[in-house]
Amino acid sequence: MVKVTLKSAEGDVFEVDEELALESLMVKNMIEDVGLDSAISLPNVSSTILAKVIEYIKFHMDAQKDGSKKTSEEIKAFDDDFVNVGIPTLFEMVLASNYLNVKSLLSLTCNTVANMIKTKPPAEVKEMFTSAKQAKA
Amino acid sequence: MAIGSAFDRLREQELLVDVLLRLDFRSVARMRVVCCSWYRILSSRSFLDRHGKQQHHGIPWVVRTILSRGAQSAVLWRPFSGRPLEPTSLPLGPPGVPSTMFASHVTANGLVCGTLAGWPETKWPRSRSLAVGNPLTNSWKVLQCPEKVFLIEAMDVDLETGIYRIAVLNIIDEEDVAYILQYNSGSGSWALGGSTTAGDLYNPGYNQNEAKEDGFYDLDTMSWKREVVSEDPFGYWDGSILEAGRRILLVHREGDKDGIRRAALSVLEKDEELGKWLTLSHTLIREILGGEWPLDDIDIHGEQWMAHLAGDVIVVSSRMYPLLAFHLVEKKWEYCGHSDEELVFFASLNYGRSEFPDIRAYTFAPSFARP
Repeated sequence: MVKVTLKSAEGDVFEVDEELALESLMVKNMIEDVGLDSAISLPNVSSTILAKVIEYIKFHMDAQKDGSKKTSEEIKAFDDDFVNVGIPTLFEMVLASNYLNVKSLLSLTCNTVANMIKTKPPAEVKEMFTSAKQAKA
Repeated sequence: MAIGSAFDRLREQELLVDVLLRLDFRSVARMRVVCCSWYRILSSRSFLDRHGKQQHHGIPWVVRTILSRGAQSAVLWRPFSGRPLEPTSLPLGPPGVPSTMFASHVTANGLVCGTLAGWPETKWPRSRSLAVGNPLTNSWKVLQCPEKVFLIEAMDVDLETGIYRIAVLNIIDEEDVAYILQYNSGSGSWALGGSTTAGDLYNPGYNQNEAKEDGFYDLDTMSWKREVVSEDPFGYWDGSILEAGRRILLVHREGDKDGIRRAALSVLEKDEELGKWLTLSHTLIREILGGEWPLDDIDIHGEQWMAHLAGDVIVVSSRMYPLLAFHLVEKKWEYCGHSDEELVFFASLNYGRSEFPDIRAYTFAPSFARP
C-alpha cells in the first residue's frame, strides 16, 4: 500500500496509508499538486493534534469497511470519548479539522463546542472562552 | 506552532460563526450577552438569515398545553423533525396573564396573536384585549381593540419593516353582520375593514350538490373575497383559507354520500396559471392516526378546529383529536401523540359527561421578529 508522509508543526513525521491521507481534502489537493515524493508539511497542526486526527480518521475508515462489526452505539461512544478533552485541545481540533478539511471531524468538534455553549449560562460561556484565551496567550 | 491563541484563530477564521450557527434559537438569544462581539454576530441580519435556513427548514414549533384537574403541563412538538415531544418552558402567554386567558388564533413570521379571554366558548367573555408575542424571545405586547373581539381572522408581517397587520372579526348577532377591524403596528391605529354576513361565515358552500365556495378577508384591499374552491362535492364541509398570499386552503369535512360520518381533511392549493384549486391531500383523520385513535369519529359540530400555517407546515388543532401537521412540500401528514392525561381521559370516557381536559396549542416558525 502506498504511504504518505505528513510533517507536523514541530517537524515530527507521521507515515500513513494514502487512503487515510486522502480523507483530508487539503492533503488530497497537496498530493495532486506536488505528488508523493516529499513529505507533506502541515505547519498549522501540532503533533498531538495530528495524531488525534489520524486516530479519528482511522477509526471511522475501519468502521465503514465491509465486515466491520462496529455498531452505531460503539461509533458514537468513540466520538463522545474522542471529543472529551480540554477546551484548548477542542479548539485546536476545530482549527485543525478546518485547515485539513475533514468535514465529519469539523462537524463533530463544532457541534461539541455548540453543545457546551447551550448547556451553560452566558457568564460561564464567557469564562470558557476567556480562559481558553489566557491558557494559550 | 502557530502564534496566537486557538480562540483568536477561531474568531479570525470565522469558525466561531460556524459554531454559533449550530446553536438552537433560544441559545442564540441567550448568548448575545456574552460579549460585544458575540452580540454583534448574534444580532446581525446575515447571521440570523443563515441560522434560520440552517436550523428550522420551514418546520414550526407547536406549544401544546393541557389543563386537567387544575394541573398544567406544556410540551413542545416539532412535526417532521424526528424529535420526540419534550417538556418546554416556552411561555404560555404574556407574562402576568394566567395562561388560561390566552387563546392563540393566528401566527405569522414567528409572532403569535390571540385574544385574552377564556376558552372553550362557554367561558368566553368577549374581551377587547389582544396579545401579540414572540414566544422565542418572550416579548409580548398587549393591544386594546376599540370593540370586543369575536375572533382574530388574519395577520401578516412585512419582513422588511417588521410592521404587522391584524384583522379582528366582530359579529353583531341581531343584525347578522360580521365586520373587520384592522390594526397596523406601524401607525398603531385601527381602521374599519369590510363586512360580510354572519351566515356567509358560518355556511361556506354548505351544500352537497353545489360547487364549494369560501370567503376570506384580504388585508391589502381590506375587503372580503369569495372564491369557488372545488367543483367536486366531497360532502359536508367546513373550510378556511389560511393565507391568501400563498393561496392555501384547508378544509375539514365529515360525512359522505352514504351518510356515514367520517372526519377528513383536505388541503387545496390555488394554481394561478390554471386559475383552479388543486387538491394536495385528501385524507381521513383515521388514516393519519393509524391504529392510535381509540374513539369513533367524533361529531364535528361544536369542535373547535384551528389551522396555522408556519413555514412549510400546516398545523391543525382541535379539542378531541391529537395535533395534526401537513407538510406542503413533502405532502405528508404527521400527528402528535397523546399525553398521559388524555389517555387517562379516553380510558374513563363516558360520553357527554366527562370533562375533557382543556387543551390549547399555538404554533410559530421561530424568528426574532418583534411584537
